[in-house]
Amino acid sequence: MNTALSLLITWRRYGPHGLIFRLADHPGDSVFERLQSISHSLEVSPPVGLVDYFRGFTTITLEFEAAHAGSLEALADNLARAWNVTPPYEGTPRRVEIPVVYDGPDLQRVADHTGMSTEEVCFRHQSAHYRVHMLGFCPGFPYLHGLDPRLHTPRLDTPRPGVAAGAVAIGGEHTGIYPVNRPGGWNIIGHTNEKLFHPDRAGGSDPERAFLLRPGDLIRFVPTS
Amino acid sequence: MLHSLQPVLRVLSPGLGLTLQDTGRHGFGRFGVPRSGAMDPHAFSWANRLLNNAPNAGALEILLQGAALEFLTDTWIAVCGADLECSVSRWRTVRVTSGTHVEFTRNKSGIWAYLAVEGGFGSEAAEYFGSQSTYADAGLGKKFEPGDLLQRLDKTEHRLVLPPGVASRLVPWDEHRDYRFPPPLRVWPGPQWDFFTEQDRSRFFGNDWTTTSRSDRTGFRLAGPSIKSRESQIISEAVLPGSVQIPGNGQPIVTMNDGPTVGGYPKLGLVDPADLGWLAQARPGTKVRFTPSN
Repeated sequence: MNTALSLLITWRRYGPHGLIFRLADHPGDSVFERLQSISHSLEVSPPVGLVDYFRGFTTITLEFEAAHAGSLEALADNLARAWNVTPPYEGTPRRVEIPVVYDGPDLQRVADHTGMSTEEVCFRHQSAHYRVHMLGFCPGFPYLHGLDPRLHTPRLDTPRPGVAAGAVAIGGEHTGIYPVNRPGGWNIIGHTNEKLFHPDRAGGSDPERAFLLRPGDLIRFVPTS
Repeated sequence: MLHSLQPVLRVLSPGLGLTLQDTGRHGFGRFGVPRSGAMDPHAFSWANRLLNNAPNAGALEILLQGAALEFLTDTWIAVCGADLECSVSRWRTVRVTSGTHVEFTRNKSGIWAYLAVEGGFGSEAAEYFGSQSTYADAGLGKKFEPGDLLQRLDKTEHRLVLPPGVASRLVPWDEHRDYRFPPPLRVWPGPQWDFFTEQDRSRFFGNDWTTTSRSDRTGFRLAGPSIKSRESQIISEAVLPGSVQIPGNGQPIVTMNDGPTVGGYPKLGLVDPADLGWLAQARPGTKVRFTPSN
């Protein structure tokens, strides 16, 4: 099937300086690949006035300088038309192994919800391959796609006021790793000592080095003790 | 180093909160880095403008009350924003001399005050992703503590020189704001506008909302009638500052500068960036109203 014709990108304004483009109703590989190619094209040739952009699972959000707010609608139509036929991005993914200790306070909660033993939860979590679909929420937080459907577990009803950096957690259909201490409502099943965010690298000429991961990376969790 | 620096003040007490803020960091949203920056751009910009500073020069952001500073050199300063009991007048340039203590004792209205120094604060290590804005949760800058020293750019071209016969420079009277009475805040339709019935939208625009104490640099929580969304969760997508999120309990959370860049609550609208500073300055218990933006 020609994926270039299988997507119909819709957009709407998101305030006076923003545009949100929607590619699909549900996350998946073809949406992800399209978002990768759109991101790539934005970075190679950003539209005039673009000051920032944000990835979602099925969306991409663009923010413009106030001076360009007047012409956003025409620009949005042009971008959507161009992106409908953008070829998939052909980069080679990086492979990253994340050492993990499965000692999280919500391991039992996930086990109870899924009807498995805690050992089986850990085994299934470390057996899967994950892809970083996006970074967001707080600096360097990876949303990992590929969680075994049997491990899908709703977020906590009341978020914890503080989750320590390095916490490995399950939120709904996804798993992720907290790069910094933040309040959060995901089920914490373990922790890693790997640093996902290096604020000390955020000042140099290549601030992207501050982040361990980026969209497209393939992740495996490797249990350590 | 490009700029030479000179100590300008020492923090005696941070009070309830003291950080450095500028116009924020842009361009790293896709990595999850929030914009941060001054909560009230109006007051922040006037503080810099009075001193001929660059529009994005860093200024001290003072939360509510209690901050105390000792100046280490003679300098012009400007304080704009929240109404604080203080020896320094707001909305004008003030000359302070080395050894002067400035205390911000009691907050009378508003939440955030901005103190700028001539030339702007400078620090060799304090720029993260091109901004001095403190985002302490992720180690980008820090909340100031007693004893911290701040420096300013030390060059004659950074100094403020008023024309002969002029004692001070003032912000025009009609630009002073009374934060107790915010005007109706303009709201644009949000990405999930269609998740809300006509009736729920009318309820949002037709009622007073009260700001609550569960509000900070990440978000402002409002209390009022319950608003229902067709779905209580969406697939995670961008959340721009000013977004009016409606979680399952029906009480809006307006995302602010340090808020998460991505979230899963439906967004009914977006407070116009030009009006967001009014909400930021609304102390708990303040009544706010929203009006559709055209």
